[in-house]
Amino acid sequence: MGKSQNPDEHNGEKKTPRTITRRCFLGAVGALGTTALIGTGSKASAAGNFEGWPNRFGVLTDLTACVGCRSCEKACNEVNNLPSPKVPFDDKSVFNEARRPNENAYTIVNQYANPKDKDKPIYRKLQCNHCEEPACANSCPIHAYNKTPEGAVLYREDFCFGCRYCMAACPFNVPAFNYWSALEPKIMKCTMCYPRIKNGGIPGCVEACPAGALTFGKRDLLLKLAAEKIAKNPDKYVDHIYGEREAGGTSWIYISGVPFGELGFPTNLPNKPLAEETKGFLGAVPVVLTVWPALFGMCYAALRHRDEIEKEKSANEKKEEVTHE
Amino acid sequence: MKRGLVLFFAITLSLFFAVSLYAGSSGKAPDVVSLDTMKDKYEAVPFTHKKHADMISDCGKCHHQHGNNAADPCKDCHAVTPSVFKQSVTAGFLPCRNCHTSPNPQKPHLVSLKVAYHSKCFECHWGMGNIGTDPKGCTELCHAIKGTKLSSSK
Repeated sequence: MGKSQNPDEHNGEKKTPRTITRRCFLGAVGALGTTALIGTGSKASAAGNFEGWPNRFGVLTDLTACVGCRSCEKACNEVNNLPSPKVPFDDKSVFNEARRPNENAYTIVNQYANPKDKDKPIYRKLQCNHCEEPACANSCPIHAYNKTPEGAVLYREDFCFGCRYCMAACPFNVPAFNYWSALEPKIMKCTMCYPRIKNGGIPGCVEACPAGALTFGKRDLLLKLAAEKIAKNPDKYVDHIYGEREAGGTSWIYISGVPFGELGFPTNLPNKPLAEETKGFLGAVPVVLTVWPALFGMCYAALRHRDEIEKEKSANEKKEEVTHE
Repeated sequence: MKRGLVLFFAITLSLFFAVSLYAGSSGKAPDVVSLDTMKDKYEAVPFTHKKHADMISDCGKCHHQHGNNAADPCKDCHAVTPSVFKQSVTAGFLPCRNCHTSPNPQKPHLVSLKVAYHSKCFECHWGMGNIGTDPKGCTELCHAIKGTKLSSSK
């Protein structure tokens, strides 16, 4: 009691238990705030100015040329040693339903009605589009995906632990999971025949195509070729190269006689890498997890400390009143 | 004035004859060509060249030709290799396979021999029979799988 009667003594005593000084607190808040800002600001420059590997390959699909012979499917099956299909490759009954690439077929051909000429159906080949900035690779927590300088997006099964985020992230529904393999399931998808192109070859499907629907080459040459084809035949093609910019660009690009939306192509994709959409959020996660607890913890400590001081003060005042009385 | 008119008709007529002679040069062309570049997988295709040539009566529909406005720019063929240029100047006709080889990633404009053949066939035959609507159509109508026969020749 006697101790706190003297206001000078009271102030002196207050200083000793104070672990957070005003200067220290403001300094820490400033530093943490700056760190937080740097953390979120980094998203803009994370992609950098990298414009892609200069000599990367691609495939141009001319959807007006495909006759639905399924030679590509057959060649893909042989090149990748995939199990033989239940329905043979020369059976057109597969066109009755829309299919998607799966663990037994890295590429498939679907049939669509042709609004221009109903006797000539349109065939669309589906496979991995080998995006310029693949969403699968960005979604993968442990970098089991790899964009090679040749353009192919490759999956490494020895890294994968089976979270299947890539399947959810792919805007084209490409990565497939072999659920039937209970012990060592893995993601399966087109590799752009990477071992072949690495040795100067061309993908199996492109080699097999008799109709000229598939052209393999340097992506920048293919873009020029596609633009030339459209310019020469403005009545034959719609003025759009699908995959030039969609989802930040894909290695597999397409030209078509009818709008791509009518052939099941996703038309709601932004013209920037899908990673840009999530980078801000994902970049903020480490900052939120590390800086926020410290920042708010300090705020909480400061507020609690102030309350304690006020409580003490009011108690002292009461005591003082009592002693005065 | 009358003279000028006669001269005009004379020139037009001579031009007409020249063109028909040019088109008629298919007479020298082979009758049936056996297309067997894929003989490891398919039976050779007996392509009735003369029949097709007589029917279309325009070589330019299938072959690159000089004086054909629809043809590619000169450099597209003549710049392929200097030897090809020399050959195409000295020889009247070049086999398709001289330029149309296996696909070359460096020259995506230059289609492979297989594509060059097929794309010409499909120009007319797409939709004929089952071609382009049934994967079986090709092996039933044009080239039988090795060891089998065309359904039409059974």
